[in-house]
Amino acid sequence: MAPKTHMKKNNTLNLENKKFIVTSLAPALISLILITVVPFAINIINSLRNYYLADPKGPTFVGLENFKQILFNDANFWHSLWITLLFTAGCILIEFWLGLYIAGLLSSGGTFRNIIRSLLILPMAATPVAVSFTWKIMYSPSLGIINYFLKLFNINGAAWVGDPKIALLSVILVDVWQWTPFMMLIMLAGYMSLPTEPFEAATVDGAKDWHIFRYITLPLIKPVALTALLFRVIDSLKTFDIIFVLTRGGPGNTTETLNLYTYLKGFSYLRIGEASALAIIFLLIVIAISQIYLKYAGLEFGGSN
Amino acid sequence: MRKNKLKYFIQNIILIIVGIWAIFPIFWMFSMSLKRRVDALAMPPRWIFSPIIDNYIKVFNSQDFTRFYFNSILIGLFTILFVLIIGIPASYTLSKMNFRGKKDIDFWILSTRMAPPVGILIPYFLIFKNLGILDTRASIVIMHIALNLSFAIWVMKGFFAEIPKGIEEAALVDGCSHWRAFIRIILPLVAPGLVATAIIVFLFSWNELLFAVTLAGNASKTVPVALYNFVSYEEIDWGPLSASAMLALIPVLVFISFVQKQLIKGLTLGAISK
Repeated sequence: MAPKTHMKKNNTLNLENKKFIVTSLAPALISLILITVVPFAINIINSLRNYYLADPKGPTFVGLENFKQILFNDANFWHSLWITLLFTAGCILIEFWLGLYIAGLLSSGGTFRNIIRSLLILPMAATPVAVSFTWKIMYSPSLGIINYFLKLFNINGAAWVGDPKIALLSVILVDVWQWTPFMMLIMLAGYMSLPTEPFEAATVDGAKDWHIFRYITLPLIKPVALTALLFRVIDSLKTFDIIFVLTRGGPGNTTETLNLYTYLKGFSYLRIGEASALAIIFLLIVIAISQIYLKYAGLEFGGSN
Repeated sequence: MRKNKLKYFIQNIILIIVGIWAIFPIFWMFSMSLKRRVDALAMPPRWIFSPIIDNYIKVFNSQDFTRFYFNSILIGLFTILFVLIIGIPASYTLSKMNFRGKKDIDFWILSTRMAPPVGILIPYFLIFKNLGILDTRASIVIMHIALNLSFAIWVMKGFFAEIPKGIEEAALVDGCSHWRAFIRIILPLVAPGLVATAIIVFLFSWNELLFAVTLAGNASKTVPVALYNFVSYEEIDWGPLSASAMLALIPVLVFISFVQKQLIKGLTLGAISK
């Protein structure tokens, strides 16, 4: 008698479990469909249309015309893609090494280091529009504080975001200011979870700092670092705020990333068809870059723990 | 030994430079907001000046800033509400239960991070336009939920994972229904994590520009949008501009000073606990 009731209880427990799983996931899954599948489907439809928002006649079907136009006839697209890659590479390289270095300096803990760590949260939490605008003031050629500091060291200032040659670099520097702390925090968490034995052994053996870093720290911190990098790569491909406020893609189109180009195409020029096609191409590029990265880094995205 | 001391000293100097570098733009913004026009434009810059609050008064008088502030707070709170209601149960189930298709859902949630926001913005802009709800706070809330939901689920999954196994089993054996056990026993255990998530979601919504600047007109303008318009129209008037930028930073500064630990945990958890 006893085992049977036990089994019955187990069955109801299973049913109860299934009910819970379904009811707890349903709202989120429906929302996710609305966030991903629905907009993607609408983009596909619109990308196949000649859709000018100001045209009272409405959209007409044109097949793959928009894609052909973008891929084979649109120098601005390829230019914006190049700018996006330059921007991302510049940001990631600087932020990664700087973040890793600062995390190393902060990893020994103590009050002073904790205060510095707290200060470093400010750039990543501060409203991007507000700080971008402050950078704009600091970058001002004649009245900006940066050129003033440079002058103190007898270095000639620059027009920064106003100079086509260094506008992109100036925007990258603001991104570095904003997001190096994020890299640093994640690496710091990585440092904190490192086992102490290998370091003690190495120190006893009289290993040099650089060797400890190269052969012990770096391999141990690699999984955390690679994940942090992936997130930053994806996010910097999509950067909007600081570029929009600092340069709006200018001067000329020297800082016009793919994200900005897509946005302007849709909401300044009201070319919804082309903008939708650009959004799809943009998504495919992000996926491709992430996949290449994952393969190259030997990471598995999601699933495994 | 002496060499070590020297090394430590140099490290400290570098860290001080890093600290100054991190806060200088915000310090500079603050000092600008307290300067008279002549002081703000003075070259070499004036480090010592008699501070005034005229800029703040001007912002409140000319810019309707209180209304934008109210819009931003309201949009942030509603975003939190919906993100948590939709996200909490899902993140718990994804973290604690085993079922078929779990890996796929995990992957799906994570991959939404790859989608460029502009690709979501264009279709929803058209939908809102057709529904006639452009320039409403609701439309911005919907977009901010879309922007935050998968991130929030991911972060909360990490918090749920920290609960020791067996607690919910014990509750279930006691005859609680699963939902009851979840609400009564599990939720209180992760309350700090949920607060951290709520704050991060609020900050993201508070700071967000792309969706707000596209969807908001005069009626639903948020603080970042107001600031952006301000920047484009009154580029020369740095004082009031800095004052409104400082006002935009107030919630950020408050949260950083009071719940810093949870904030760091939430922000890094989203990236580490893959």
